[in-house]
Amino acid sequence: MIDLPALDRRSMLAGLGALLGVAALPPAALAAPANAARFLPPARFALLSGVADTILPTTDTPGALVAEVPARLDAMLRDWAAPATRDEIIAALDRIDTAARTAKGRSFVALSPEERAEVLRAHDAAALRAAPRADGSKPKLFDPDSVPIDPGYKRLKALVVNLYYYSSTGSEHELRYEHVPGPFEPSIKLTPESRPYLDIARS
Amino acid sequence: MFDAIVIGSGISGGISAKELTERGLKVLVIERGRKIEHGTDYMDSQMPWELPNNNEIPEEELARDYPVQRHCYAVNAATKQFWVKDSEHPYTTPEGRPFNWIRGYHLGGRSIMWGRQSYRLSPMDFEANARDGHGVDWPIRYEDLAPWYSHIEKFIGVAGSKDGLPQLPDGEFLPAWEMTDGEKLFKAAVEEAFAGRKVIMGRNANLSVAQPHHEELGRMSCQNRSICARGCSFGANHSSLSSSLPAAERTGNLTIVTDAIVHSLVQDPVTGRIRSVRVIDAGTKEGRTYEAKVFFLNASAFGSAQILLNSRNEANPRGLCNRSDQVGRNIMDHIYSLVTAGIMPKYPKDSYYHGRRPTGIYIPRYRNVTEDADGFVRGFGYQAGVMRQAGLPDPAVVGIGQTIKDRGRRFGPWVAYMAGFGEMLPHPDNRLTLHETRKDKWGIPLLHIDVQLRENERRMAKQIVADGAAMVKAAGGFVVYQTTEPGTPGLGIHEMGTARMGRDPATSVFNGFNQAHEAANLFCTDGAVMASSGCQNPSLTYMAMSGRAAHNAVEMLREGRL
Repeated sequence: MIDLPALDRRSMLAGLGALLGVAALPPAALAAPANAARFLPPARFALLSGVADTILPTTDTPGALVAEVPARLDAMLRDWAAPATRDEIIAALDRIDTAARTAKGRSFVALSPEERAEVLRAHDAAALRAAPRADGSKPKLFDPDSVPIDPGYKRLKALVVNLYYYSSTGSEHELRYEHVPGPFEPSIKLTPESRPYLDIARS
Repeated sequence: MFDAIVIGSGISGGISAKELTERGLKVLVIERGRKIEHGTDYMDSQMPWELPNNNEIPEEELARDYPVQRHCYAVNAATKQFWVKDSEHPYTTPEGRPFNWIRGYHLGGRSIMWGRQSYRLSPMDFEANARDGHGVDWPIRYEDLAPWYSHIEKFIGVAGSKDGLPQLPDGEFLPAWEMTDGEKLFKAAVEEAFAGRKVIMGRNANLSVAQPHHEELGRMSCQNRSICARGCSFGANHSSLSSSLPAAERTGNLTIVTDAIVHSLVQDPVTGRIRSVRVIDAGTKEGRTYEAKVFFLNASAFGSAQILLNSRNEANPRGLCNRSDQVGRNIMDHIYSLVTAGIMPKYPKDSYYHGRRPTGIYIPRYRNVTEDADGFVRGFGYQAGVMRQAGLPDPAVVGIGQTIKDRGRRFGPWVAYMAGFGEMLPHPDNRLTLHETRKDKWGIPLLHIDVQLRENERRMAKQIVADGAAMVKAAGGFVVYQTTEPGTPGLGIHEMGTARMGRDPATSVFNGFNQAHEAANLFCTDGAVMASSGCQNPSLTYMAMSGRAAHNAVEMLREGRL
């Protein structure tokens, strides 16, 4: 399923990044080794890694690279996604690259972490805006039927966010997942240090 | 030759097997699906990141093999093994009238994935048909079943509080789970605003505190994981695999065959007794028969009706035990998917909870109890909860980087959510029939299922939605989301009524002892026999009827009356 040596190398690099307080790693470090059994070709995998690292970078806690989000997402594109979904997500990735080239004249992975964040922040805001409704009316607040301008980007971002939080890294450093909570405590006083627990599909 | 054959190993068949074996009968349980081992076949030890594809079923597989099952809330990669492949188990519905038949074919059936909500029907429910004329009168009353409710509650372990409500009788409960601070406020406000409405703790078949008789079966107290539908290795929720079948097994009287699909029953034309059951091997497709003195149909409401219909012969062209023409008719589910969600801005910002409680709260029926209804008979209840909006940050909200992490760490407002469960009336035209031409790969005619919600259900649905909003507002909240149309019938996963019990052989299939009017040694104790649906989750009633019918069947057998 997943090429472990490649993952280990990448997590180690990402972990090093965390140690040094670097928000993102240079493109060369992110690129998959030539022998990795990836679904995405190297250039797109590097783009995915750059995007995931920008959506959830290492900050005071580890980010998407430490959580092996790119490799797990790549595996899902191979093992889970139907062709239409694959195309939709890859196209969404490519639009981010296009946005980088338009704004900065270089590919997304060639940008500095700050530039990537700048490009993706603008792209994210535009992509997730609710699309106009078919009848021309304005989108409502809390409208479950609302569709964003770029649904493919929304799915891509959702996969990155989900895979990050549902990882051992995310669960250790962000939202704690307890597999066996033990007794139910109905009332706990929150403190400034309190963190929500990670909920799961209840079934 | 067995003393008794139980057809089906799900929530009712497991109890039938237990009760019959404990009374000394040699029992054969016939399960159409494969064998599942308690514990070792479950995926409940996996951490979220150990599940394939982040717990998603591959999209193409989902579309190809699970086009119906995928609509069930509990279908995911960790539970996939427990749902039928619709591609292998087709049925038909009329154009424009879908029915979602959610099911699992394996040892234990849906008792592994069930929602565990366990409520008694009330005296009012058993009298409802007689009072308003829908369906036929139940041949039993609450008092007939009350001791068996107690018997089952003690055995399976039902957590709940004693609330003293006539429309929802108390039972033999383990300690109830506790309400969150949000739920306590919601309860106080709703009960203050609406005299007669009560907000109580959900009653669920999870062991809040395992008792010695549970521990003897290897069951332990619930760990608040809420991954119950994966199968619970702790045995903390009742299932046939954790609870009833092990109890049957330890008597030494139990035999189980799996991968054995019941084709039909064979009736003695002279005595009317059922002689044997014809079975098709799921793998080899070879046929064989099993004989017994007594037969229990526990194949699920639709499965049991299908067996009766498919047992037709020249003398009984409409199927066995079907002179009343009621087999397959009067399908009921519960009106489902009517959800209200509201934000409760004034609820305490510094309160939270720990653990994934395996039940919510419950608002028992009040329409046509303490309050009139707006143009409909019967009523509905709500499964509900008031929890913090917290956890996974919504990726659809604008923002990246630290913004996402900050949002994930934040505690959002309290959110009240309520899902109505409404009673459906028995209507003879809501029915299943055997397909005239199409058969499954074992040569058994497919079911054709024709069910629709009618005027009473539509009016009730409107009130479920309106009352939901009113209660959120009364509790200090504002509604942010509502569904206004009931879900596709079947999604309540409470399908029932296809071979109702009644007093009159001309209008019903089984009598007050769950005994077929036309075959003295045939009993049915699954959802098929329900004469009305109540609005309560029905599994507890099926189990209570299984206990009662097994007791009576053994008495009759001993007295030589079978």
